[in-house]
Amino acid sequence: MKYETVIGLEVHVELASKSKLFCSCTTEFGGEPNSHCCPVCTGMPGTLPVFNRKVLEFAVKAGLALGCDITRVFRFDRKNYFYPDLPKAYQISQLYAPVAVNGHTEIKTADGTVKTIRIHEMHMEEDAGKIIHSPDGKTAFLDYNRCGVPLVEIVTEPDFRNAEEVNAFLYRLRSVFKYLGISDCKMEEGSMRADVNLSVRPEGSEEFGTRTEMKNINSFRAIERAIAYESARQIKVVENGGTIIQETRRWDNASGRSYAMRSKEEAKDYRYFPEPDLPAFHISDDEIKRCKDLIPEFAEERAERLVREMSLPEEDAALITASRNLADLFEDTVKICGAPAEVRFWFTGGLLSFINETGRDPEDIALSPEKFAEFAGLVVSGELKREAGKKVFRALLESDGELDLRKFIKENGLETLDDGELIAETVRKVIAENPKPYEQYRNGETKVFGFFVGRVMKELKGRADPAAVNSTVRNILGNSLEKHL
Amino acid sequence: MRRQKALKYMKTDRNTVLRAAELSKLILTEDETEKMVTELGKLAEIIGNLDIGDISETGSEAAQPVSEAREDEVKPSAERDKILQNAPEHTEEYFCAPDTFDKGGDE
Amino acid sequence: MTALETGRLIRSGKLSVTEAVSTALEAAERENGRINAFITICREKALMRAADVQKRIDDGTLTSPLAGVPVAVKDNICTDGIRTTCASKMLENFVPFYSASAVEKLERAGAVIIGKLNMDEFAMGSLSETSYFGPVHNPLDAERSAGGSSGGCAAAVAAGIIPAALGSDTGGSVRQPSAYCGVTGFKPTYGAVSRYGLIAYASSFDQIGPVCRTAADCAAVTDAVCGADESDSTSRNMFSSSLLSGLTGDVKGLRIGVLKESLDAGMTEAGTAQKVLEAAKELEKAGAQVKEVSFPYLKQAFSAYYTIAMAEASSNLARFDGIKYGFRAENFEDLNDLYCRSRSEGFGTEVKKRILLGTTILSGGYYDEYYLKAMKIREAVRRELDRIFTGTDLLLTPTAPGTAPLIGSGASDPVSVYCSDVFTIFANLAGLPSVSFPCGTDENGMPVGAQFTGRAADDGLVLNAAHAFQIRTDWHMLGSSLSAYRDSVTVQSHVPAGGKLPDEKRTLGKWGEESYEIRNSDRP
Repeated sequence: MKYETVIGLEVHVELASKSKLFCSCTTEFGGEPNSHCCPVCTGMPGTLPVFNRKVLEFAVKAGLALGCDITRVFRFDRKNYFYPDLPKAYQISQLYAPVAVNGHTEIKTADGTVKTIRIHEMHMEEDAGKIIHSPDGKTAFLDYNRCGVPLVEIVTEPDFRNAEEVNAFLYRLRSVFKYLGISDCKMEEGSMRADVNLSVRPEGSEEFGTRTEMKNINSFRAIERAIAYESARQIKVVENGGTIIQETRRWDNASGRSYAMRSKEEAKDYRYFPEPDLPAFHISDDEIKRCKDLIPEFAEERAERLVREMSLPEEDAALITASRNLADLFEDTVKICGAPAEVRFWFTGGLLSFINETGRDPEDIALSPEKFAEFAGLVVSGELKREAGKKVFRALLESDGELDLRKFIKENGLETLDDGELIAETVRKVIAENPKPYEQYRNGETKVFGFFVGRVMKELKGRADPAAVNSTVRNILGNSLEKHL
Repeated sequence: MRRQKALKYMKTDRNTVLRAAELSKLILTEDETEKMVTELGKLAEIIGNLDIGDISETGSEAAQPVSEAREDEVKPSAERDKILQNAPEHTEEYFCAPDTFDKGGDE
Repeated sequence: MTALETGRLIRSGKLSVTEAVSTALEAAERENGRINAFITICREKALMRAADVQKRIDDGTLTSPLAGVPVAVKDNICTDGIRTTCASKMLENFVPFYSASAVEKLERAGAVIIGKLNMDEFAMGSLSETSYFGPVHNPLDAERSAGGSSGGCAAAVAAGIIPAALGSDTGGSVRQPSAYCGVTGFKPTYGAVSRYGLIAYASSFDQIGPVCRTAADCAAVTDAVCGADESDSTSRNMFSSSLLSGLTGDVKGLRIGVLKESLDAGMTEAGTAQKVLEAAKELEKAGAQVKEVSFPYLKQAFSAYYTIAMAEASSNLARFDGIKYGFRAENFEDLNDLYCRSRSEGFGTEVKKRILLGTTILSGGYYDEYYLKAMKIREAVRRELDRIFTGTDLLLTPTAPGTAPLIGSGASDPVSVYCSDVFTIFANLAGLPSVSFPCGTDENGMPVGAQFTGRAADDGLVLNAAHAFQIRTDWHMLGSSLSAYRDSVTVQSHVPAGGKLPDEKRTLGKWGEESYEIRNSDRP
């Protein structure tokens, strides 16, 4: 029998507010253990939560971007359970009136298929602390720095059928959240975490099978492996006549397996009730509109437009729009200097390879569009040749966009060369210094022509017009050939 | 006016008490369990008086404008010594607890 | 002597802060063996602060009516550097490094905290009998209870140790002990005083409020501690002017509704009902319009209150798990066992009972039937009270159905203990301001308390009605002969010109250790 895998996701994303959800401690990652803590986030007796409204702005933007209805009167609820990483023994979350509901977003898989994924809801909640295990396994060391860092949890409908779709959704989510500037979505640092709800059923069946929930999946690659493993495990159980137990399983990336977490039945009863320490909050139309106005065009839509409007190759458009910062830089630069082809040349060649080589975060590239446009303008006007420009552009990037272009060009003698006599002289010099290739050329091996051009350009530090060099080389070589004949 | 249907009384048998004890991390002796069953029975009777009778249905509570919530500002955290000073067991950096929660095992 | 009188004497230089504070400390140390009102007395801290406050009064930077006045604080309100136990073994050694916002404000007004007051464990009880540190005794009759849960507050004020205490009122915890001890206790509108630093019992009911001898003192203390606090999102700026300055004593035209059901024979002792009616007559003579009103939902309100309170309590008390602070059991097998043993050994019986009931109320099968229904009743009670308050300005009831019972009666009849809150809880359920003031005595000479409850934010009106009664009668001076100041009061009439007191009166008394703990020998 053939089986179909049915998957739903619960994705936790840490939001990039400066301070925590309910207190004024920093949300900065890392730091000395228990140094980003106060009486509120460590659950000291008598302390009370105070809501950070920036988090709401982030959540509303995310909700709108995911096509959700925004809940006008929302509140928080307490989820009660004992665990050492949860200092109050309850997590302030949202159950009864989550901030956003009923959304949907489109994903595109590698073969170009477009699919709609429905979002059940998105709610705000506080993160828990970290547990460091002692080597002997006896002691848990508790660090509460992460306690109270704001999260949104996105709960999808069970609309995924394979790992590729799941990852397409997560990439989309990451891109949207980064474009919104509300999270860095680093799976490896735990700022984006996905729990996978998975069941199997005979192909064609309408009913859902019993699902398991897998936690602790820390990378896109691990998601693929975990889904493959769990799906195979469940099919095997079913085929052997067994039944799937509804349970929480922990993915262990090292062994490539998931394990049932030995949890007592009690864990199921979280005794949610409305958080009495926080009032219900009302979101006005104005506030929603303000958030709506701040929602940018996202990567995929933007890439499509760049292809359409600027005739960029799809591949380049995708590269450029992967980061909002870079895409803004690209578009703004083009707007200023009006030379899309030139800007694209420096962008895909120079800037992206610089990022790849140096490992810089695209969001941290500080080059201004004005500076970039000034540079591109020099090339377009012919003051700077592309070949010589490469050195200048690299220096520009290395200076974080601070470089004085004209001064640098002058100091390094990189201005375009108009001197025909100098070019001719250099050509003659190169021919004289390379008797062997010259000999080959004379014997009809015209392919060495390129060699001479390259050498001459190098001698001239790329400052000369390649066309001029070309014709000069051709002329001089041609003349010398005639002389010999 | 519409009458509410009569409430089913909260069961205050041993199982209810033991389940509540498990959830709230309390251990009860046999004697305490017996006592709690009786006491909870009495209390359940008091709070069982929850028939809202002809009190009409209710509206929702007033909500606060979000604009009254806190600004996103970082303020200095507390000194770690103070955060840890009341902990029954701690190191210079961490709170400590026995590490016996689930690490997986059954496949 | 009242807080305002003490403040006046201090500001006029006729009494030094040190004098006032050491007199209070001595009285606390002397009386505590009899009434057990204090869990902690902080002699050294208080005296150091007294000297500092005196300096600031002398240089004119401190002019508040409470400057230099010795006060004490219920032991569920956090005080920086002073242990805060909630009268529980669980927090026996807990020393917070932060103060409740109300405490900060009270200290900013120049009040000097001399100690922490006994109470029911985690404020769960109505007789101050569930304290890990032993019960509080009524200063008027040590065989009798001081009421609860703020029993220490009422007893310390009634015994004349301090003129003002800060308590907390979840279902009548400030008002009922005030009634039992013959003093005035005020629960402000929910949100008027920040709850930050008040160790939560039931968050949506808890409110910090003063216990003093007079309504005027209550107004002065509330003025000092009220106001929006950025650490408590349920707090508000509620009053446009000072409550104290609004106390005119004028009640002409004030509409007082006597709550009919609260005087029923089956509900309230006849003597108590009689005294409350007499109080109504007194105010009628002063120009108020008194009529009967009906509020038929007392019982439903009562049920809803306990349902919600216990649900919230079960969650609020979950943080006491033996890891971050508080009691940790010594022998445990694993993490779960650590949780269970620490909580089972650290909490007393009453607390465990309420946690268990609250946990059951919130658990799957009962949430809709109990918690949700209770919330609906709460809303309905609010609306019904709104309706009543369109035709009347204040509700008058007894504070409690009877007077202070004998100590130990709670253990024998727990349900009747809960029922002693029947007239106080609706103010908490609806978040309304409510004051209890003494209005007579029963056949044993024990005080009877009457209670005014008003509309939300009408705290001034509520206090003014009690004030009007107090300027026309002297029930609030009942037992004032117990005052720690009776000697000073005599002395002060012989104060030599220049306001200097005789030297021996200015000695500081003996310096004790940092904080003086009182442990009752019969604690569990």
